[in-house]
Amino acid sequence: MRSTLPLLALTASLAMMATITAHAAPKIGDPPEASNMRLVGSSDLQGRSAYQPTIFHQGNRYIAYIGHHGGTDDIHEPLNPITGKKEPNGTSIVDVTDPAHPKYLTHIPGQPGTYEGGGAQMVRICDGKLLPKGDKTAIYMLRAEGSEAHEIWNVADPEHPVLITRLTGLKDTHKNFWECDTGIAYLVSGNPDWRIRRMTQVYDLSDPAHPVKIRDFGLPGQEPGSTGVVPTELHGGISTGVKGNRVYFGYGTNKGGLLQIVDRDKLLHGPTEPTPENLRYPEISRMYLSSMNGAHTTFPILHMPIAEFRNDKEGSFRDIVVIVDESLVNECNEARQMVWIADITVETRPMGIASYTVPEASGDFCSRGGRFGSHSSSESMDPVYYGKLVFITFFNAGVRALDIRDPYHPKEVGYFIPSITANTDKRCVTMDGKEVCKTAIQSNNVEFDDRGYVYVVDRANTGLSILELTGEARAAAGLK
Amino acid sequence: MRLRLAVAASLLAGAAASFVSQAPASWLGLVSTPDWQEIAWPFGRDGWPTGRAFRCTSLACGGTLDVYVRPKIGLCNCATGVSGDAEVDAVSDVDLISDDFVPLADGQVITIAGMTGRMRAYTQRLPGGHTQRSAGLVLAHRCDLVAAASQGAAAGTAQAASAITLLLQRADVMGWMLAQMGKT
Repeated sequence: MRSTLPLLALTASLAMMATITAHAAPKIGDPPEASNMRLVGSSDLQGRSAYQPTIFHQGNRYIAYIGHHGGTDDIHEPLNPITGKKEPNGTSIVDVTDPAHPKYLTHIPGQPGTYEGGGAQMVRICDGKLLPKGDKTAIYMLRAEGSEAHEIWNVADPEHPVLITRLTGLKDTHKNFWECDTGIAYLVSGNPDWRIRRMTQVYDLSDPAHPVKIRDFGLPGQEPGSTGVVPTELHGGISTGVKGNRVYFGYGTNKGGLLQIVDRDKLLHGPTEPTPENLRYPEISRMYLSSMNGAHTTFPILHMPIAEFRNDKEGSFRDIVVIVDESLVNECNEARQMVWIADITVETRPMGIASYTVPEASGDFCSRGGRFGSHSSSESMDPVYYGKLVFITFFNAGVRALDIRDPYHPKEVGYFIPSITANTDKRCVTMDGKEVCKTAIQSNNVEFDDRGYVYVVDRANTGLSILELTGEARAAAGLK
Repeated sequence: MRLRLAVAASLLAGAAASFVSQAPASWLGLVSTPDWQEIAWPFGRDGWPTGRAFRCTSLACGGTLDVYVRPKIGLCNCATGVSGDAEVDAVSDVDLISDDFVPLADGQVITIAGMTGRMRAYTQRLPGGHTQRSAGLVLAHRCDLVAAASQGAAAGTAQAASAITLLLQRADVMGWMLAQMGKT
């Protein structure tokens, strides 16, 4: 009997080693890695590299609209089994009313091309009933089309989308933000005359059939004719609309990042000629990150009650911005890209108060393959999670549920790393002159719906995972 | 080891041949050999790893010419390479010397060691009001790039470009750049 103990110890050690090895090299058939988040359903999204998911409660259905990057070097145009044709990546439309059995409805092809050179990455939805001059029977989908255009579609019948408007003559189109109650849209694209790839183009899309351009906007030094140092290019913005009267812009990807707080009214109604003075006019303040970090997403959470400060005469409510860097380089060949929390209660003096990253050693993420680091946060302001949890994608470390009820001490309360599949694309680095490729999850973007389901999509073609919270994460959100 | 050296030598020879076949003939008419000496990297930490700095004082460089070079991983558009002069303005590191620079003219396409990019000359105002010539150079290597900024009386001229080309093709410099980009 005694002699079996060393054998048991050896077996346990081997099992631990096997676990560590599994961390380093995920295999098809491995289970997902999870804590307090559970897989409810999934869709392969036809093996297309995915960017933004937006979930819309449409009549008695829930529809997920999912933007895609372009194709890969190996598969430029994946097969759409519904049409039987190979189609350049565009927008997937998936009925997720029953999250356990998502039903792929249709694919709207995008711009031919690979990676960020094709596809239709970004997607937002507005109900025609809300838009001031919209068709009340329409549901409008705004998407970036590849790198050359923005488009608006009527998706009231999601199986049969109809193109309404196409804005062309642009370059490097990427994200967007659309105020559904005013129609004002902040489109990320490049004007060929400007000195950077991406800046803000403000449009009035209150009548989607007749877009009206309001202005181009960026940082002084980016405008046509300027000289000297070129400020970091835009990644995206989020508006709080007429009531909040602020737009929070994030600049940078994995370098030179900054948060810019802008007065929305001055942005929309101030002088529009792109002079340095006019570009400075709407700006309230900037908060610079380290040169080693960028700002992919700048997500505002305003008027948060802070339990620790509840008995303080002033400052018991704080305005917060969650700043998310984007990891850009495979296998940690860059500085760590992560999450920064800024207290912007005094807008002219934004201050960093906390940070968060996935511990690298918890999954040997630098050697798993692909990118490790943050990419984006959920952007929904639905009360089911707003002010309580923020979901952050961390590429090969999956999606992370971050409890930000005390934003001075954010705490991870759950995570989910999907399993790789036969669709999961490889990611390569060059080592000692040789190309070394690995296959790993690349959780790219995340969003949730008003029922509390979390939707995470994969940049490396693995598809969509629909998740629900359990345990501590569910309790943090106050869900039963 | 011998095999690796042979491969490296072969790559360098090919790179040199590539340059010679594409460089303007005037660049090759050097009046003497550039005497590049490595100097300390003079700039503070920023978002990119520290690069290497060199100084040439011979006639081949048109007088004193300082060059600051470093690879930047993951910055380049993998499909299109260096897209235009705005990219040279933004990423060539000429802003490390001073934020205040005005282009003298449109940039030119340049190919060094099989990497194609653009070079552009500037007038640069330094703290205190003094002005000088400088140049920015950006070369694409797949999704990475090599950035180089230079300053000196001949910066941005064909003569300086020839001297910088010889520097970047030097085995130790080329080997370092490739190693930084994980290519060796």
